[in-house]
Amino acid sequence: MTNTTRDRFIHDVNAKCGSLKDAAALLREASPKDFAELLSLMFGQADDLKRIIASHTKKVNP
Amino acid sequence: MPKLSILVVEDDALSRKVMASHLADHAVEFASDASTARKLLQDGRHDLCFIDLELGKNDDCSGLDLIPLAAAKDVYPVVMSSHDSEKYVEKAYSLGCRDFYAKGDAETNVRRVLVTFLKRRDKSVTDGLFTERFVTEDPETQTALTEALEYASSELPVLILGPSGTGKTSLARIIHDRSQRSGQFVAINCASYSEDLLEAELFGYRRGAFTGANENRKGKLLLADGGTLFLDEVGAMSLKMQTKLLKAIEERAFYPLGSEKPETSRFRLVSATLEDVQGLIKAGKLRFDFYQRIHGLTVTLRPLKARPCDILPLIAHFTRGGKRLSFTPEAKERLQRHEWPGNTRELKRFVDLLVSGPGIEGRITPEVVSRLLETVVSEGTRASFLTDEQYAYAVQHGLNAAVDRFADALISRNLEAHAGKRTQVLKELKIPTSLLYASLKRRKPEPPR
Repeated sequence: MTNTTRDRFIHDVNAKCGSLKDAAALLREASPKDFAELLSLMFGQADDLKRIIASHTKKVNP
Repeated sequence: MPKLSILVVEDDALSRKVMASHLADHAVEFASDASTARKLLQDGRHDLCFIDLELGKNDDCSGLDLIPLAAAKDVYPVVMSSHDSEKYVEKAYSLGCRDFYAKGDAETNVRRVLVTFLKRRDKSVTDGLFTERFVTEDPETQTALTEALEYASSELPVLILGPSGTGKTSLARIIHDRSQRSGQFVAINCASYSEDLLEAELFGYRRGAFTGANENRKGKLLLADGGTLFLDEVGAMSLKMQTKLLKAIEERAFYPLGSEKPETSRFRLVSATLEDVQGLIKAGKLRFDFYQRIHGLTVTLRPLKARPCDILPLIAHFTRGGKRLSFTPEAKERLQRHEWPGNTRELKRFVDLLVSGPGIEGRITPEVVSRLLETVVSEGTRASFLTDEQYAYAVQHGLNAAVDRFADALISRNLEAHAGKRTQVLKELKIPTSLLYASLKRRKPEPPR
């Protein structure tokens, strides 16, 4: 993995995890509608995170 | 916290949802790509812009390009990024970013950013304000002005109350300047016009709409499009005029006299009066619905007598760069004791006399102060009968036209006060029938050609 690729990977993981953490902080006070919407978006975000890690895993272990 | 106008540039849907939640009390627009953000920055009026650096898959920090654009539009750029390298922070600040935070604790970061922004804005709003634009050391006046300027960039109509000469027009102009509205500051003194002329001035007219309408003329409402319309002495406006203007304010559209095509104008309204507004409403001279439309925020300016701490700073301000004045303690006390019925305007006239007066040397004594104050007061008594606007009109159109205009305004107002009863007008104003009918004929619009 090049430095640039690694930087990109770190950035992407930070971005996804950061937004998941921020969203989780909203869940306690969220209305039922917002709660459902947040969960849906968090699911998509977690899916993206999984894909990013999987992609970089392949690069490291081709 | 005042409501702010905020642009959030964020490609990630979850992050946008988080930001929407933390900025729920503000007017927020979202852009998910740089192109949309660029357009919104160009077209919109935002206080702050939160910018994510990476906008889209495989994007190469296109968010950085938005920073100088935001800064150029006087929008406070805040970068939020998941890059953990110093080089991005340095780059962002070099391009004009005002704040930067690493994503991951949105609630704390957003709150901190907004508080910092407001503190910096308040400081810049008041920097030089009380020493240059509106000189006052009076804490109450400073508080009133600072609070008013928090809403300068909003659409909230402002009503400024205060006696004559306290700086109502100055404050209106400061509010306009701080609003950063792209349009003009357009002022009109409602007390200087008869009802018909006021309507023509405000709404404009087409050639031939009435006798004397020799050309098309844009009214103040249209001239103030995108800017500020300042209605001075709004309490002098007739009920009929209030109704017409209320419609124009609510619909943002109006018809110039003699025109069948409506015009639109997005003006911000600032009004002022020295009269007791509640008294006017009770007396039926100010429509309550009109009042509701003109006073989103009310600012009251105190008379100079109530803030004697401002007298010497104002004198210093008026003489800046010119002749320095020095007063004995007794002279200062004499200045403080004066009633200043003309307020700051009267003080300015006093200083003008002091500076230009022959034989005034050394420290100024209370006798000199008393003598000049007598002159100022007697001038004020004469001058209060003649407004600057009336004087300017007479100089431009001649004395006869000015006299006719004054007579028309007086008769019109008296007719309204007497519900149109002409005999009452003749009796109260002690005028002959011929004068009344000549005025009515002048005011009667000619049929359109």
